[in-house]
Amino acid sequence: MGQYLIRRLLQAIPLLILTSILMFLLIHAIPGGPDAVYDNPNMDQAGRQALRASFGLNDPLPVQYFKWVGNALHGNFGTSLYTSQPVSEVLTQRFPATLELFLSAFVLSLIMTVILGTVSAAYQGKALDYTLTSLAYFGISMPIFLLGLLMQDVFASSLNWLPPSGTATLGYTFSPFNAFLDHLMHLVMPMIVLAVTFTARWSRYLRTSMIDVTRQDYMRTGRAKGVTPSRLLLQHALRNAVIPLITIVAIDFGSVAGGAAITEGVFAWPGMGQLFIDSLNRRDYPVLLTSLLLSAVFVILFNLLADVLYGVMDPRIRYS
Amino acid sequence: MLAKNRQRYRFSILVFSCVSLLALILSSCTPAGTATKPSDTTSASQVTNGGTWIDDLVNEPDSFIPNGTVQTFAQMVMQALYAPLFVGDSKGLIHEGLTTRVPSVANGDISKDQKTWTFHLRPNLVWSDGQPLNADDVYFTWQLWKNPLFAASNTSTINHIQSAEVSADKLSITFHLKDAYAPFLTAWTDGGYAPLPKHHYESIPPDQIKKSSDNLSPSVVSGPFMMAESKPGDHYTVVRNPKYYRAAEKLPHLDKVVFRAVTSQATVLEDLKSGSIDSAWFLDASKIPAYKKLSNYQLFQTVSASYEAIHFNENNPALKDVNVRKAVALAVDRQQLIQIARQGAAQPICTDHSSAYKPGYQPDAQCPAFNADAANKLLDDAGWKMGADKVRQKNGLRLEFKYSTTANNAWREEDETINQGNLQKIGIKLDIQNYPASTFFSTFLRGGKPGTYDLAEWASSYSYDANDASNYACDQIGKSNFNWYCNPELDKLFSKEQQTTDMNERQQIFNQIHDILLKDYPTATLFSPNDLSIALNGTHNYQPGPFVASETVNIMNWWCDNGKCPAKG
Amino acid sequence: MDASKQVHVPEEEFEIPQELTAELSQKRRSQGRIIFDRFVRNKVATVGAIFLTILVLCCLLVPFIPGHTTPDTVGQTTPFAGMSWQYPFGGDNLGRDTFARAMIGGRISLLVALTSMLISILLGTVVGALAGYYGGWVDNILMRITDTILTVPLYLLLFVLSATFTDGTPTSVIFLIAIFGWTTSARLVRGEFLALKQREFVQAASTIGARGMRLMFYHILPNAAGPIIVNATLLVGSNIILESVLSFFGFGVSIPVASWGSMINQGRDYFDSSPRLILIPGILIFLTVLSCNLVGDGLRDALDPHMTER
Repeated sequence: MGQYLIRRLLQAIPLLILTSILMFLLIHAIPGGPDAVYDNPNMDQAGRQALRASFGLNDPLPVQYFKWVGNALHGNFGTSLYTSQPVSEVLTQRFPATLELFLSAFVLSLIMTVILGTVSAAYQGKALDYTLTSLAYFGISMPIFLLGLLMQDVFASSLNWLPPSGTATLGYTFSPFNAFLDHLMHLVMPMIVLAVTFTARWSRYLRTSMIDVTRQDYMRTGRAKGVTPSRLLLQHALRNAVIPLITIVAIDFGSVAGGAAITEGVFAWPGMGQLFIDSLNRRDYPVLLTSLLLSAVFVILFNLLADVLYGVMDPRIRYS
Repeated sequence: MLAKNRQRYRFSILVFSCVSLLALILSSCTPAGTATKPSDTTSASQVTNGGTWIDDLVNEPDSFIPNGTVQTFAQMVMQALYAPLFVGDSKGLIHEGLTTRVPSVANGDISKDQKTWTFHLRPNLVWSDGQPLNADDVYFTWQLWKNPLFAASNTSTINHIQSAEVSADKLSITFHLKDAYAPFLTAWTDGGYAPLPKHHYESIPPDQIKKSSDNLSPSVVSGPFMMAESKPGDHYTVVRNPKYYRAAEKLPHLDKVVFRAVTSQATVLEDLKSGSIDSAWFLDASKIPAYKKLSNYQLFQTVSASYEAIHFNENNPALKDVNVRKAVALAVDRQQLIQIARQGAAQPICTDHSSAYKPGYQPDAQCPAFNADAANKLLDDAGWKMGADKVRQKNGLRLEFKYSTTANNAWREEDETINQGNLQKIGIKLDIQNYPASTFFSTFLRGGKPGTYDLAEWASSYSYDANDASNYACDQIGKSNFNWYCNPELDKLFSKEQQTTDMNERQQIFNQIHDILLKDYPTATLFSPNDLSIALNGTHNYQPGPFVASETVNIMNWWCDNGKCPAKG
Repeated sequence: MDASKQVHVPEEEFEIPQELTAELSQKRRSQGRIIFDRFVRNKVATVGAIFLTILVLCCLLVPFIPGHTTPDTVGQTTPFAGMSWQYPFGGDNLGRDTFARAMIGGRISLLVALTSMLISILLGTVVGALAGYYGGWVDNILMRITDTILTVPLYLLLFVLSATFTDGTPTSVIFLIAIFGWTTSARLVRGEFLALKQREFVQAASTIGARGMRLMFYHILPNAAGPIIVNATLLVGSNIILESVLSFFGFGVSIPVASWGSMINQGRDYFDSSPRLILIPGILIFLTVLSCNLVGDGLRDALDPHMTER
């Protein structure tokens, strides 16, 4: 196991290098290239040249790449072409917001998934199952922006319970506790919207694997031995049924550094997804590259985690 | 089998209810906050000071260093932060700011040959840190802006300056221009083109200024407000600057303004519906019915500086034929576009100058009337024969064009669909392909490749001055003239217009320019889209202008009833 | 059916012996017939299949239904016209016939979603099966490729590919969507294969000489069918939605050609004044996705090797 972990981690290094080269090339293949950011007819040639030089864009591509890698290894990710601020600063402003949103949404979705998936499987083929199935597919088919707008309409405009957007009520001074409470209220809607999509997808997977598992031999053995059905379902079936789900959950969590662009956009939540789309639109290469690399690191780590958890949960899987 | 044990699963429903209750519990405990400023008891009819005004910006500002950006939303915040030499108003006219008067030939501040311009500063001006603000700062600012290392966003006007000198009392500065240049004041108008503090920036290398923390959180300013909190991607809070030069007039009226960066129009609408913001500008025309339903807000439609037009890519040989361009101009139904796509929020014009330009706007321009028959006849006469596939052709050239605009813009897509239908009637086939705004402007327009785009639709505007050389002059081809159209006669008129300061004389020249544009049709102007903005009842003096600082052009005059702004925040 | 599977008869079946005897008295049927009979027995799945059939027929027959063949004509009716007998779904923001557009749009959406789903699933299953079955360096190489693609966010590739690739035709959209769909199913199938190849019946099959392809696709794959089918039905939904994301960024089918995704995208600006414009394509997407899932569930049960022949 330990050996396996070390090998996988070592394998991650060439993967990361490969990904970073691929991303570097892709970014420079975007139509327009880095010049697009200086799309300003009022700026003269001299100004544009000076700007290019100050961001090191006159070097040949491989040189730019190695300079970037060299700086990145020293923790220097360059400066944003759009706001001219250090990239590390830009990302540290955004990452906590996304992490907070994802963590809360994941906790909520996991709870909901286990409940809905188990109930759906237990009542397989019954009205309750079909209701939950329809709901799940409603959640999947629902465009996220529409769900967000509907929630804002109901909870912010009509009922006046929750603030429509942002992370804090502005223009007031709060005591620290009230400020925290105020922040939580701003979190509720984006968290639920993000959780709906995950819950809808995950509960489908859980339901399917639960049904598969209940048909296995050891389940029948368990029943024959007189294990109570609920114990059987929750302790034996759930444990095994959760294995395929882990892959999906881990992969989904790997996307945390990429953020949730649409949800963040609808609720004006200053997270990574918004930043990514904005940077793409603004051709802000240093920010783009760094956030891409960060999301790659997360995806790789969480894929590894998925495989490891796989082994913990199902001892039959051997690491060769 | 499993269904027999239904009762055993009751607990899961319980947990489910608990989770859904969590949201409700969280939402029911409203945190108690105290307003930053206790409300005044004065009556609503008279101006009261105080209050926090919340405004949504539809895009994220990129820099708060004057002349460091052309982005409108950054200009809006800079109007709050900096006091410029000259300041615009809601009608688009230029007034004195830090200066004592607007230069003119009559008051002697502009020489007879229009090459020497003198600005007189008010006495005893100070920066927000108490240091004196004088003509030295203006001189330093000019030096900085013309330095390529600073990479100023607009150098076209600055480059006309030959030299400058500061008077001994440091209260006036005289610029000697290389040539007569009437739009000179535009380089110094509004907060986005305000002088920079010499004492603060002279120690920073010019190429490091925008990379410093001052870029999004400037520490030394001169305007009505100072930066109090700068959270990029979220919001910027500015607070009253007690050292503002008009502080004695009790300006600004507001204590604080919060600018929120909310990039989605749909979210802005939700903010409006729940009454959590005081104002927003640059609203979406297709949401007009929804805005009108907001009873507690007042919707403003103001004349904008821009004109929406179809730009012909004359690199396409078929579009080199003026008859084809003219036929398109005749076949677009401007009324239908305004009524359906813009929901009425546009002015019908056919030149490149909306009524915001004085001089510039020509009310009696000879506009082509919508007439499909005339367009058909024009093409027939020019030898474009209708083919079997209902597309006209001549000498192997087909009138089939790629029609592009910025993607994901509802009303522009409606324009395209309407125009596509109308041009089909005259035997011109349009294939629509849109590109994201950044790619569209930088790559595809600049590339000018026929077949990538032939007809391109977008809106462009000039700043406080109507000088339109940038969009049509021969030397701007591929830079900002994306019609790939060159007419030496026009170039002569442009330099004549740039050297004339007399309003009436200039208007005559602009009329001549319009005559040529309406003969050659390098573009087919569709309309001038109105600027849409909205303000909550209980706020006052919200008067967006058409140019540079736009929404916040008179931000120092904004005030709220009883010194308390109505938005919930 | 091989002997090992006959043993897996679930005990429920013995609780209804009278039905079983009726079945036993029947003539032996073909494999396809058995699956069909099992599928039809599932009422909900049948309803889903019928709905999909009707929808497909409607989309194919569309020019005959609305009485005109010009769904893109501006001013067919007045803008935002209400529902009427002639225009059952009313008019859209430009006065186009929403019903005709919804049906024509369905053609594009179904074509794009189904084709790209098929490509993704095929690719994903082959890659996942090879990686999971052979393990070792095959697994390493295939999974590292999958990982690399998973690490590059969707939007970036879309932007890059848009410049050289998309021309607004459905084919380009299908290709774009298929590129991103296969990675998840590859990982899923690999996971299933990892688990299944240790199982007794696989070891049994391999002892009696089943090797390579036969073991992979005849013995292991049918047992992994459940997750694959569920993933496929999910993909249909997410592909229809992805298609709307593509139109959001201007890479979808070019206007004025309708698809459900582009209709939702155009309707979003009128969400407050005329919610119908977004609800109609939205409900159609929902019903399609739901039906696909129900059919998928029905298929899974019908294909389940644990089930007896009835």
